[in-house]
Amino acid sequence: MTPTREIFWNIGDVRTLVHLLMFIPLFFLLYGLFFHFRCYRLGRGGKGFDHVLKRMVSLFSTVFTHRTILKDRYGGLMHLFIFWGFFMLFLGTIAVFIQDSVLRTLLEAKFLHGGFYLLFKLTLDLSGILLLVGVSMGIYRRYVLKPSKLDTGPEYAFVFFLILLITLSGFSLEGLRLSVLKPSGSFWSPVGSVLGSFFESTLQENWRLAFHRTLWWVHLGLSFLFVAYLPFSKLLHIFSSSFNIFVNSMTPSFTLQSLDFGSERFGVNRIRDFAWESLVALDACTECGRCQSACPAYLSEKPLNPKKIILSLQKRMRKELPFSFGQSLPRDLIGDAVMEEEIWGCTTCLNCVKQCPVFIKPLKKILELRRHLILTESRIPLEIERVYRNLEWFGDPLGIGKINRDELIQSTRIERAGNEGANDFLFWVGCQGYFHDRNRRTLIVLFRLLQKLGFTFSVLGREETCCGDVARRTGNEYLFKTIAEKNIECFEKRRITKIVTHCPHCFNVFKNEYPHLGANLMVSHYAELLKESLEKTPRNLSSDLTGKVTFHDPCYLSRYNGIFSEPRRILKSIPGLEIVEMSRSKEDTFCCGAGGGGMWLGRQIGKKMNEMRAEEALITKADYLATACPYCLNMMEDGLKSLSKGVALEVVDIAELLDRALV
Amino acid sequence: MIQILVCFKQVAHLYSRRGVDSSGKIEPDAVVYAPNPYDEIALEEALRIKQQVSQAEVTLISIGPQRVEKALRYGLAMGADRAIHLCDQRLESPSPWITSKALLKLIQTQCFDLILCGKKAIDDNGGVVGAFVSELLSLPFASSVTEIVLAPDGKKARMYRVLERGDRHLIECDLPALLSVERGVIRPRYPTLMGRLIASRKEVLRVRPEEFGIDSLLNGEPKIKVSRLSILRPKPKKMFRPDSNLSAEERIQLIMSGGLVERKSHSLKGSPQDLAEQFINFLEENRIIKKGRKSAD
Repeated sequence: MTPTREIFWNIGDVRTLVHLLMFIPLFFLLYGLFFHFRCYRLGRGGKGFDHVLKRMVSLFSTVFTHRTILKDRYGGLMHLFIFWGFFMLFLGTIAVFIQDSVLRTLLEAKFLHGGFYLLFKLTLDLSGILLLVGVSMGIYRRYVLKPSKLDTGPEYAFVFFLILLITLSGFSLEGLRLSVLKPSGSFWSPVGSVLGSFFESTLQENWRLAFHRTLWWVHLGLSFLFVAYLPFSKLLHIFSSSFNIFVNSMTPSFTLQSLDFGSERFGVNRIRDFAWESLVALDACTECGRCQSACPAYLSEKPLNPKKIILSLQKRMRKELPFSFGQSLPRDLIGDAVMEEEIWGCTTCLNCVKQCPVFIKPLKKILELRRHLILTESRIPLEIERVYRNLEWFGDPLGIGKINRDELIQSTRIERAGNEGANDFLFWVGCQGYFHDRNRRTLIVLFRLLQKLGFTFSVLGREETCCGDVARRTGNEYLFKTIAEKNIECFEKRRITKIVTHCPHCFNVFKNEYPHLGANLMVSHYAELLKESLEKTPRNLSSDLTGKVTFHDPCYLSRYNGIFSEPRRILKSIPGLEIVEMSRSKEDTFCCGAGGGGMWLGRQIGKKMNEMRAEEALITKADYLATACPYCLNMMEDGLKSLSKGVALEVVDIAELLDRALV
Repeated sequence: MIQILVCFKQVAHLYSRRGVDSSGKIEPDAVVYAPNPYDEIALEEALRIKQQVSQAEVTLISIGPQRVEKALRYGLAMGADRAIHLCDQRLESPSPWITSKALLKLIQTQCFDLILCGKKAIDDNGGVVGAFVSELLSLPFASSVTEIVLAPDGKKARMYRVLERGDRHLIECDLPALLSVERGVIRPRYPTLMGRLIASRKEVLRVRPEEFGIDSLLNGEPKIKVSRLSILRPKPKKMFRPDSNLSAEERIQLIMSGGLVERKSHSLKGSPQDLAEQFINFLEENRIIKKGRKSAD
């Protein structure tokens, strides 16, 4: 006799009954999913369904490989085990269902028999073990290790318990069946046969049959409960997170949609102001807490927690649409679901977006809320309002005025823009470079270095204005657009196509956001330029410059644009330097606190981010703290000063180090 | 309907002295034109009155060359209903008397219950135009007022006059009147995007001096004659230098607020060794002694 699955063995003829009962959990499942789907339809139209094929590839490559989830080793493996265990068992159940209901009645055919069946059994047994291991790891982490990012509410325990019971009862059923039927090849179901011999030695055969019958119904009931409970519990993420990966993994992680100036409302203050894709994202949160433990605002004890924002928006979305079909009045979000201090606590460092395994992008929601505060209600923190006025009238956030930009040009004798054809590129200095004493020192060195390396370039001087980054990150889309259009016009008038910037913030807007407004530019950051130049023509670098150096990655270089190897390559090319890394580096870097208007917002609550980062740098015992951003440089210098450690560690720009080493 | 007129000047911010040429004129690039902050506050007062009373219309009036329109648009974006611009190149920098006469002619074409203007313009720091105009119109005049409240019938206004050290006069006057507004607790609003869009669609009513018969005034002898203009290099201003131990944001706060803070003193604590360490650190950081102690250890 070939080995096969005895479906409904020992249960009697209940096939029709079971098939009818199946509709109950299915009804709950579909009703629940339909409710969530109706929630998403509250949002405005968007494009989440174009490039279906690409989106499918993105979805499957993310879900099956767990590439984003595995960033956290323990949690990732745990979820990988549960996922694959669960997925294979689910496929197994489907296979049994197909075999029993479809093939048996229609074709009188069988595929679950013989060698394939044995392999099938082995796979399912192993999947069960995988699932048990995963669930145990989960329970251990959530209820024994208790990391602060995870909630320990009873609903999580219930879900774990449910999965555990379903798996264990499944294994027991298998064991009981094997102990009575004693088929050949029990080697292929290791867990079942071990349990089987255990039952055989402890229970009489008629007891085993009775126990099997009872447990069968329990197993069925629990499975049905699982399916029915799914859309109303954290298990929803099976659907919502997958759907969100499909809808949102292709959209850029930070570039905001440009605003439709013809509409009545700007930004978001109600659930209905969100695009429907954003609402899917709210439902997709698995509460893993990775954004929370990466958020510099949260870690420095400020009133912002990206996870909390997503969850309270999610709560509001579900309240907006009661389970009944009645309409409810839309309520404002700001001041109710999200507080103003939370919205202004963000430094736009993008870490929440990068850490989220299911592409939720809390930063974008915060920026949408900011847009509402600024554009619709004009509720602006005083410091930021001053920045806006300075930008509008003077063209720089500090209100120093364009003519003063010439000071740097006069002291360095760099050519003012005019005849672009003769030069390699336009060097965009940026407001920080022109107006901040420390950064001006960096720039003088950088200009000298570029000339030494044989580049010819020009600068705009008094014709340069702010790039608009501050305006956009704080939500003032109007000002951003005005500034950007003026800049693009200036580039076009002067036929400027190649730009090298000093500040990563300028670099990012030019590279990623100006193209949406019609600019056609080749933009690079000077770190890229220096690296390329060093690789093309090896230079004679002195080995007199010695010591350890640690590199602080600016958010707008590493996370926003993936540039973290270039500056390290430059540092590595200096023979006397040894690179040591801080605990958080490269794409996981910790924000200095100046981005997203943070430079100007007086954030007196909690710890200071730059001090926290400076302490991290001190731990490395490095002699130099190198960076490649004017904001970061100042913040780090200030952080060290306020820790009274200004001497222990010298804060330098990578260009300054290279200049010192270049003979 | 209560009609409020707000005199709205575009001022020249002379933020830089480096652009002075040999003739003593300031380079155009060194000038930034922006609405006079006091006039912004006057407009804010007017807009608040508009919110108080059920029906009111706020009209901006301004004189000057074409560039003034930008300031008026900003005022419209803040929420003013209309803007009238007496436009002429000869009004580039008129004397207060000519300004007052020109404004008078403009105002006489309008009906009004209240005229507001800023206490002074921050470029020429004159502060006389409001008083001149009220005299020419024989209107009650109060200077340096803030928090204006209108009586329900719109016949009287009650307001505070700002005195020194936070003292206030509470005064009341009959309307129509002309009031010059001081910076009080009221902060002018920042235009919303909707305001900007509405303003961009509105028309700034442009009128010519010929229509008012003040052509002769502009061509005639000015009351004040500039005999010689020389702009001296100003004395180097003592810059406030905040404590370098503060963070960037705190220092920026201090610089922006004019540095009204006591210098932080530093007390050292710890064992004698720690104290010595901290003291040397302090000396090194302030560049009193040279760095390089490490090698001596």
